Amino acid sequence: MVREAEFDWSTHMLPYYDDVPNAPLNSIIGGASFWVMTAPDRTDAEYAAVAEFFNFISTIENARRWHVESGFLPIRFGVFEELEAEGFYEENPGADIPYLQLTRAEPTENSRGLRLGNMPEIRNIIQEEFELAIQGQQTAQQALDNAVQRGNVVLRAFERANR
Amino acid sequence: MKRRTIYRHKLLPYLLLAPQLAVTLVFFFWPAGQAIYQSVLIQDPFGLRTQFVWLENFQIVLTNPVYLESVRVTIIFSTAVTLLAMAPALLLAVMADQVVRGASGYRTLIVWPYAIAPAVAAVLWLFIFHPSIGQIGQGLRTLGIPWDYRINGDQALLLVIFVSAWKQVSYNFLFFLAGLQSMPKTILEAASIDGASPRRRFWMIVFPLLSPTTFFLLVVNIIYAFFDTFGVIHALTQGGPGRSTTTMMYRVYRDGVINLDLGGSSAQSVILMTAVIILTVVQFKYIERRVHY
Repeated sequence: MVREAEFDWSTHMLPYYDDVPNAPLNSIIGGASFWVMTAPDRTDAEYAAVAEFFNFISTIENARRWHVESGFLPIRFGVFEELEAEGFYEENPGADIPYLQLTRAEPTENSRGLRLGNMPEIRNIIQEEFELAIQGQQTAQQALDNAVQRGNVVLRAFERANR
Repeated sequence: MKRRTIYRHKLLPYLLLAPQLAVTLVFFFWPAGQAIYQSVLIQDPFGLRTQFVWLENFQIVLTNPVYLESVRVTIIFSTAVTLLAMAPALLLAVMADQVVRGASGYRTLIVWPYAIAPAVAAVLWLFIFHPSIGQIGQGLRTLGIPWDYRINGDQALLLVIFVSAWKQVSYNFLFFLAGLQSMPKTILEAASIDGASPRRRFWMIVFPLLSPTTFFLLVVNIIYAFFDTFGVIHALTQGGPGRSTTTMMYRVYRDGVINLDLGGSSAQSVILMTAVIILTVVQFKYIERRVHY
């Protein structure tokens, strides 16, 4: 966008209602992650290799390269401070906003992140109810109530399937 | 005396049939059997934990108001697509039958939509009807009509019905045209000598004689509307704003592939398969009796 946009633009923190207790909170992280699955005949050497790999990608140089070249968040502390000291964020204004927003406040139980069973299904449910509200077929309160009710059914099903 | 093709080698007919039978076995019977098996289980997405639950998946699915809503949408959708695909095709076939000059040109142009993949057809019409980048979409909005199928469920359903029907018109047209061209001219000439108007000739002679074709196309169109319209729905609306274009087939995809509810979606698959089988059997038993051969 810096190169191609023919209009003025800038990046800012998300707005918030200041009459909500504890506002502003941190935003919730999202995106891909690595999950290690095991199998019946894993050797110790394989586990050691997995640990080695995770150590490798979370070194400061690799995390910094990932952040600078792709624009995604650095996956560890230390990178931000280093780049800030070097003046990287003055040369690239707005590149620091995601990080600042994620670390805006001490996370509460609910703002720590989403770990729900059958999360894709719940996300779709929320989106469906939201769309129905936008169409005018239900109020926002009804949409949220429906989402909660349907989401709870999904959570119970997840619990049952994974017992 | 019945004509039979005699093969010299006894094994040859079986060998010739084998590839098609293999395909049917691998791509129909095996997945169908798997679906029936999985529909009586509750599993986690990786299949590591499995519980046998008899028909509980069916009970959960059939009492779910979201699923019943998709049944309602499917009925509306299939009826509309079948009618909208067959009527214009018959009209076009009648008109193309009477054309003398450039007949093959008209036929080629009318058949083209059938060659397009469903998703491509969907994207094509998306570019025409999109409220901000489509010619007709923008046109409707400048006329004052609040056209936006991305937030209006009824408009989304209308668009999806239209695109699905448009794709199927070519197929129906081909069969109707073939049926019309194999009509015995003597009966029609006799009728016109007796003073029957073209309209009467059509509805009293041509249409009943076309009934085998019409019956066949009815069966094929309903199956098309149930199953083959997935590509169009997925490319255009992904189940529509707030479930308005979610047919039973799309519900199976949503629950099976995205929500990874293997038991529930297998139960829905089995229900869908049973529904279409019953529909086809009913059509053969009751409507075929009225077909003139």
